[in-house]
Parts: sequence; C-alpha cells; structure tokens
Amino acid sequence: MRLDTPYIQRQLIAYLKAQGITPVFSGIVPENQKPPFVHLADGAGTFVNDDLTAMDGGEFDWTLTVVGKNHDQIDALIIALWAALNRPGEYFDIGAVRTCYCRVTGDTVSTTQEQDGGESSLIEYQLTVRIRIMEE
Amino acid sequence: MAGQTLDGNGTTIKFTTATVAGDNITGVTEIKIGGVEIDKIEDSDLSNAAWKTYIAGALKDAQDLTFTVKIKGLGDVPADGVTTMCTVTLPDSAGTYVAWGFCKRGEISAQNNTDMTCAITFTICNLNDDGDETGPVLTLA
Repeated sequence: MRLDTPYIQRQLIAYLKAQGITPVFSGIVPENQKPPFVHLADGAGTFVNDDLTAMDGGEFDWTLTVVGKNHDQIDALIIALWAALNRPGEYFDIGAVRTCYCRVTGDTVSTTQEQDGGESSLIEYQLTVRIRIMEE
Repeated sequence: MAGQTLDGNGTTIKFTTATVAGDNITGVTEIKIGGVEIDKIEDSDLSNAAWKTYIAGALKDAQDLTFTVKIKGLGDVPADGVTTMCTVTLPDSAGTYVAWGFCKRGEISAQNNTDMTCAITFTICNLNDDGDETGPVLTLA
C-alpha cells in the first residue's frame, strides 16, 4: 500500500469532495476565486516503524483553511469539515485508504484585509487534522 | 561480525511442533530473550579469611522469553499452555535462539493514537513434545 504524503493527500481531497465539501484547493488559489472556499496546505507524514519486520503505517498532519467574507458564509463549511474529519472511534475509508484515527487537533480564526488598503475583510478559519493510516 | 552494530529490526519469531511448522508471527514489535539463572550456593567455612565464597548450582534455569505483538497478529500465536518450540532468528544471519515452552497471553493495551498490542510470555519448560529434557540453544554466527 502507498503511504507517501502526496498520494494520501490526493485521497483526502477526493474524500472531502465526496463529502460535499467544495471547492477545495490544494495548491495556489486562483485570484478570481470567490469565497467561501477551502484551502488544503501541503501535508506532512511521519511513519510508524515499531514492527520488527514490516512497515506499520503513517501519521499525517494537514492544515485546512476555510476562507469567507463573514462567519455566516463559512459556517456550513466548518460544520461539514468537522463532521468529515473529526471522527473519534471510527474506522473508515478516505479515498482508497483506510484510516484508524482521524481527528481535528486544533483550530484558529483570524481576520485579514481582502486587499491591501481595501475596506472589506476576510475571515480565515484554520483547522489542523491528524490522520493515521496503518497497513492492514 | 565482531564489532558490528546489529539493529533489532528484522528479528523474527515462530513456533513449531512436531506436526506443525509455524510461520513467522507478524506484527511483532519487541522480543526479549530471557537469560539463564543459576543458583549460587555458599561454601564458605571457618577457613575463609575475608570473603564469602560460592559454588554454582548444577542445574540451570532458563528465564522467560517475552514479546509484544500487535493485536492483528495475536491469532497466529499458539494457544496458551500448549508446548511448542520457539525459534527466534536474529537479523543479518547473526544467529538463532531455540527453546521449548508454552505461551501465556498477557495484558492487551488499547491506547488512543497507538497500535493495540498484547504482551506474551513464553515460559521455557525445557521439555520437548516427547517429554525429553531439551534446553534452549543460543547459536551466534
């Protein structure tokens, strides 16, 4: 089974889309993209190598950011992301891989100017998630 | 071999009987081979001037082998109390350890964000499945 972070990240994007969370951007967001949207920053994997004779699996951390004009606009996306990614006690498929641990590990909210010198603002809700994928 | 560093990565353990040749147990995260215990018998008497002196007992006692296995590999471990031959193969053809004994399943650990594991104790009985005295053999390359 593939455990490299780019592959798992593709599975995560497919999973989010299947959950109705859209649009999700994993690279650079187009400048003309209207909010609300979700941005998935590149993730990082740490591999578990406790087993004496095989690869165990990996733990992957991602940061997702929900961007919107105001709190009302991003609320539905926040609820959907929490429902999709904070699933204590559940084993389920994320794309083509199966996770045994998927939980939100932290979040922050901040307000920024939409453009330098502009009068409108953007709300950015950032959420970190840990996904553990083990060899079956 | 002399002076070479040897990592535990690659060590395998399997169990066989006269009729069943077992496969390596999967999902093993740690193996500890017990040492040998020999009684020390004091033989000092009035002729000893400064130090107590001891002789070694004639019979050796092999200590338990313990290992930790992930819960998914637990089904391959022999049933508790059934006499089997255990073979531990050290990595890089460094050697083997062969002993007769029986398994006892210990506590199962379930922790958040951690593999579930079970601690197994293999008690060395030094009797093969014909009932003959058969001590453990550690062979190093």
